[in-house]
Amino acid sequence: MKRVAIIGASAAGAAAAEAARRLDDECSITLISDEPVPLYSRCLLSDYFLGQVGRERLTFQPKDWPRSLDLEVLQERAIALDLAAGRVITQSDRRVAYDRLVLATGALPLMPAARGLEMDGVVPLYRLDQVTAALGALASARRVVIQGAGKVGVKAAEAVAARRIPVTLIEQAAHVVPGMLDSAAAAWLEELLTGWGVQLEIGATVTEVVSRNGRVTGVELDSGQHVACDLFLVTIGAYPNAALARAAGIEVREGIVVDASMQTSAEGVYAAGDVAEAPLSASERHGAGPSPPKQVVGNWLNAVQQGRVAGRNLAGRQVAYSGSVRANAFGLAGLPVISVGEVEGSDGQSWGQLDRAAQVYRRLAFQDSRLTGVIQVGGDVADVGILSTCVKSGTDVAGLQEPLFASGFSLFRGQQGRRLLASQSSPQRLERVHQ
Amino acid sequence: MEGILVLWERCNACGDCLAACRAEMERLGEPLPQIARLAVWGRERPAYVALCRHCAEAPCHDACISGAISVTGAGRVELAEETCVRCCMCLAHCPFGAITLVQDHVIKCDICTPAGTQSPCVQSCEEGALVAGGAQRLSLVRGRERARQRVGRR
Repeated sequence: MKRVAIIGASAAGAAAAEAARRLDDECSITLISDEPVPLYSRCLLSDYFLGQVGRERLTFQPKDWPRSLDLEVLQERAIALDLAAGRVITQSDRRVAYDRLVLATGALPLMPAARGLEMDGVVPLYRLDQVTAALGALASARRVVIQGAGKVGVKAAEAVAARRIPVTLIEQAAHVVPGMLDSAAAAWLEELLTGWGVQLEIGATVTEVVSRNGRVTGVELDSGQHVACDLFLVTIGAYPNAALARAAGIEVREGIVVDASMQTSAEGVYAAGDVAEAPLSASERHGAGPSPPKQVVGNWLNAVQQGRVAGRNLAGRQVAYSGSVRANAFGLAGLPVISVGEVEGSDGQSWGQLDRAAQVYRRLAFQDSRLTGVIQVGGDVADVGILSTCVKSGTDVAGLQEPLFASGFSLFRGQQGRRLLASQSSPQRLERVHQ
Repeated sequence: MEGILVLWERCNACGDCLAACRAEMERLGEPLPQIARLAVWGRERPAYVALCRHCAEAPCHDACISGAISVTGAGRVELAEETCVRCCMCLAHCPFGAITLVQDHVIKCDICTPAGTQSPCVQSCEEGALVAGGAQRLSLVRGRERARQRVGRR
């Protein structure tokens, strides 16, 4: 009987457990997690902070999820790996023996290089306990500063502004939501945020947290400016939580390096999700040669798909990961914001248009005759999935730039577009039965 | 595994499927019955039918952060509108453009009839552009259609 251990129970760990159990109903699966099991959706924390999703809805797996998959759950931290003996050592000094191991340890919140971060009233918005603490503090907060205007930061600003609490949003990059939006789309969101009373400090960073009696009273910016606050929320991103692997001698660059089967440099040890540095998809490689570049691309979809590939491979199948795609989406005050692939600095051609009257921005980036990036804010978004499929598959869209910009559905009018759509709808897609 | 195959080369954009869908949603007391769970793009043959194919390993399901999209044992990809938080991750990944954004959530086809029966949209299509059934049957239909087109072109 094979013994499987999985560290981390969020999207990637859970998907690995499900995939492994589907193929092997004999093996023992031990799930080690220092966060609640069944998983809660980290991506929903923004909506939780906004008050639109209650605590009970964060956990969307049924309560008996571990039992239905016959998982043994250890609710504690894994502190070391003994690769030679094939054991995970936990905080309570338990030794979990494994034949196959999945590292789905996710990421940890980045903190700014500022003094005074240990003060009361400094809260990163990353884990459920942190967001719950921030919500508690918000009830009595009189002025809030948020550092980091990514997807989580702008939604947090929306939440604070909705409570009519003065809020300053600080972003080090040249505009809000960097990495997901270009400057034109970001300018529109900045206008919206300002309209809600959010004070923006772009191109700035916090150098010092000012406090009195151990409590935050304000922050000092690199410009020398002082911003008063009694709650300082940090959401400047996350970095792979790869310490366990690094200490065990597994190859780690930015994240734990894995091959297309999600296996790490150690045989029988897999990594998946936000901790994994996995191959990029065909379209993201930009003709970089036979061995695809690897990158940590943290999003829910990649985590689920990587976890599933790891789960199948450790159960004895030979499955290759199709590659990560940078793709993200969120809603800001009802406005859909979607970003796929290359968003800025494409050296190819790009089509972008902001239609103020219709409240819609769309930008398509092309390189040679391929679509490499999509940004869509507002408007009719039904065709964005077709566009993102073009990005992922690297389909030749020569001569279709203009109709594609008008609508992804226009693909069906051209010959090669028709071939793409037909290949997508082939029954093989239906036959790849859940295994 | 169940699914719906769209032979959109046959679709003449008559819109009967849309009307059939709306009527059925009304009859079933579903939310927003005035919005069909499928869409037709184009005005003449071949038109494109944007309809959920209930993919195996559906990207919308993998991408869903709220647990609103689930897959049944029979392979239907179902959406619980009340759980959806409108994050649009599913929309951003659906290769068929089959998901529509509405005021408070997204909306898509859940297949409204029991297994082995024909949905009203499928029944309404006089051109035979919509085919429902198991993977095997759909595979057969698809192959036959390809052969027919090849012969037709010569």
